Amino acid sequence: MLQGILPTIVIRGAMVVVLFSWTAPTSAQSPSGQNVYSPLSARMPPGIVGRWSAQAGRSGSPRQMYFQPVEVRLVDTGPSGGGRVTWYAMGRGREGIATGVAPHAAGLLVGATYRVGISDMPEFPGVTLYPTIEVIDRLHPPSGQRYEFPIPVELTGEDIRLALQGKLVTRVVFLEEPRLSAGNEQTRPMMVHDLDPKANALAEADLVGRPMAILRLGSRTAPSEGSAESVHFFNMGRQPIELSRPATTKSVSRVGAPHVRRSLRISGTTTGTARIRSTGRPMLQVAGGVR
Amino acid sequence: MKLLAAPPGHPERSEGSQPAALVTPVLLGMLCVLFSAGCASVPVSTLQPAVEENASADEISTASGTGSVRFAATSVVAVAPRIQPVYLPAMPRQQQVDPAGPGGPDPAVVEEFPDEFVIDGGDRGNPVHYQSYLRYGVETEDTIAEYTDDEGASHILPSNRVALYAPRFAATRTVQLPVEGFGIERMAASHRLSREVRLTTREGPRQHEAQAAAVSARVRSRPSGLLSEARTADVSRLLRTGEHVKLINVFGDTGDLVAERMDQADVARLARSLENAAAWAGDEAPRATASTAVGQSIQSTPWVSSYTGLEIQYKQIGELKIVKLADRDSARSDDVVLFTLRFDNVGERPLTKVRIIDNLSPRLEYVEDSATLGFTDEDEKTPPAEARGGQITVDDNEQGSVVLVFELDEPLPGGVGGVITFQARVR
Repeated sequence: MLQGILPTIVIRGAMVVVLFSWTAPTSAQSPSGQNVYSPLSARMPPGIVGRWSAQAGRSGSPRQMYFQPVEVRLVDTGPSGGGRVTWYAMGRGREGIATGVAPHAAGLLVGATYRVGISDMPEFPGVTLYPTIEVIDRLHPPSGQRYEFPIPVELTGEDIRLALQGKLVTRVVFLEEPRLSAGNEQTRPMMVHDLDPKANALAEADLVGRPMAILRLGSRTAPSEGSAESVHFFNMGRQPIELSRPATTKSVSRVGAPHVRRSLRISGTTTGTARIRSTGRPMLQVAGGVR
Repeated sequence: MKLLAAPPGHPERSEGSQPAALVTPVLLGMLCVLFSAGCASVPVSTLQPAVEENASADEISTASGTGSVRFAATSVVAVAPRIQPVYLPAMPRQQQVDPAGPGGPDPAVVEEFPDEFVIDGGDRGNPVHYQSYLRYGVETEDTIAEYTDDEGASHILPSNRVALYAPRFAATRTVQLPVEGFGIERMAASHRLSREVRLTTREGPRQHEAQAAAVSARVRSRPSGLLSEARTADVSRLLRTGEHVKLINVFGDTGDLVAERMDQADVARLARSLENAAAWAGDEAPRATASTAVGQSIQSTPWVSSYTGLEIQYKQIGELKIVKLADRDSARSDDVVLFTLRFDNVGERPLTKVRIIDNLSPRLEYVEDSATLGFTDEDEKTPPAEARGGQITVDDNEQGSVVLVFELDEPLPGGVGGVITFQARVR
């Protein structure tokens, strides 16, 4: 009789376990309580989000690629820039295609992933890290001012320490929505929202702005020279890169600011009412003339 | 500057290379249409970067001492895309402007990518309107002018929109341990105790609506001819005079009326009574009067000595125009931007209650005591006592910035304008 009861108990117990474990994946699908399904995540392997972005047309037309300037900045890693930045592209291999003192900018293809070398940091002597930068969107600055407004990718000393502890630091740089800034001041270094390790940093950034680039920083060392892994490690698909910084042209508004002969001041505080008394004659300068 | 793709008519575009230059993009375009997902698989080594820099002819020269600025002609050659990008229908944001275009404060760029700009001016979102004597719809970035013409009509006028290219960035960060994990979770024990208790619930209906439909309906139709006969069973009507008052105001009434017949004696008596009445009331006898009237004629000739006229208003009614300007088209954090509000009464009749309201963007911080005011019909020779004035009210807009309200003290005459300037710091 005992032999007939035991299988029934086992089956019922298994059913209970299955029913109680059923709710776990359902609650993990909604990021930060938002009922929005995000098919992309910053935890995906490098290149997938950029590929989606390129297919969505963020990189421009297929025949005219757009090189989005990206500036790598090192914060709290030492004086005089804090270190050196090396760009790996165009199949140059270990030596890289260009190097410079941080902050250093280069034009990267939207939708592509690049390997960057960080070295010569005074606070971290002898340490060389190789983060990846995945560009997923572009800016639209005035003509000739592309390098005046690059996408800033900041690496702080805390990020370096966390990476040296064997952790993976993922930063999603996003463009703030001005109407949601609520009067917050620009901070230096850049304002960073630390999230739970299980959170989708890409989806969280998309809630408050427009994600522009993904930085992944670990403590991975470079593979040995000449190995098959070294080719893929440094080239990341042999993407082209724009290193020449074009000459910038200052743009001048055609209608200049009006000139009030006698400057008028009002007295008052930040909030309140004040009197204004006019004694000057305003003029508008239009294309060199005075109207 | 050498351009990779010269537009039609450009001297660098050789005629002989046109067929080869056109066939390749067309074939690639057809392949992209047939295999929409294959556009991303175009080998990057065959692609050529676009060049969007300005021509080298851009020159800016400033004449020292005079303050005048000369502008040389700027020749910007836009690179036209050879192949239209293939857009996926599921993602509408991918429809963007020409990537090789100039960008910047182009209205199309501002309209499509407003998150890269700090915008001030215009009337976005809910339009400004009045309801129950309260003003609604002044969101952040809005700049409007309100005034009243001399006929008493109130007007609201938004300004143009000023966009400064000032992108600002932030980041989200996660820190993970990239180690593999393998876990087995097992339910140790489960014990559930449930107890039956008595529960009595009484709920009265809060609202009860019943709609009963007719279960069955029976309709009987009769022939059209219908005779109806009504008979009065018994009608009784009684009329009674409620009150009757008769007043005879004669001095004496001695007549007797008997059965609709008047005797001769009664007639004599009545005649005598009439004579007595005439005698009693004859205090005044009629008199004869005679008069002689002579006709006259008057002739006059007026002489015009003065005119008194009523002037009719043929002047054009007052109308306000407002323009907003900024002294730059791009800015970074902590840059101070000078905003200018130029307002003009383009009509001929005056405007009253002129007020300009500017709700600043949260990315802008008003520089205290930086507002100035000037009018076109006043100069430094105008006595301060005769100069017009106004007042500025600075108030919190509860969005991280302030609302500036400029109000003129006096009516704005026709053909007169003014300039308001203020400074704001980009956050």
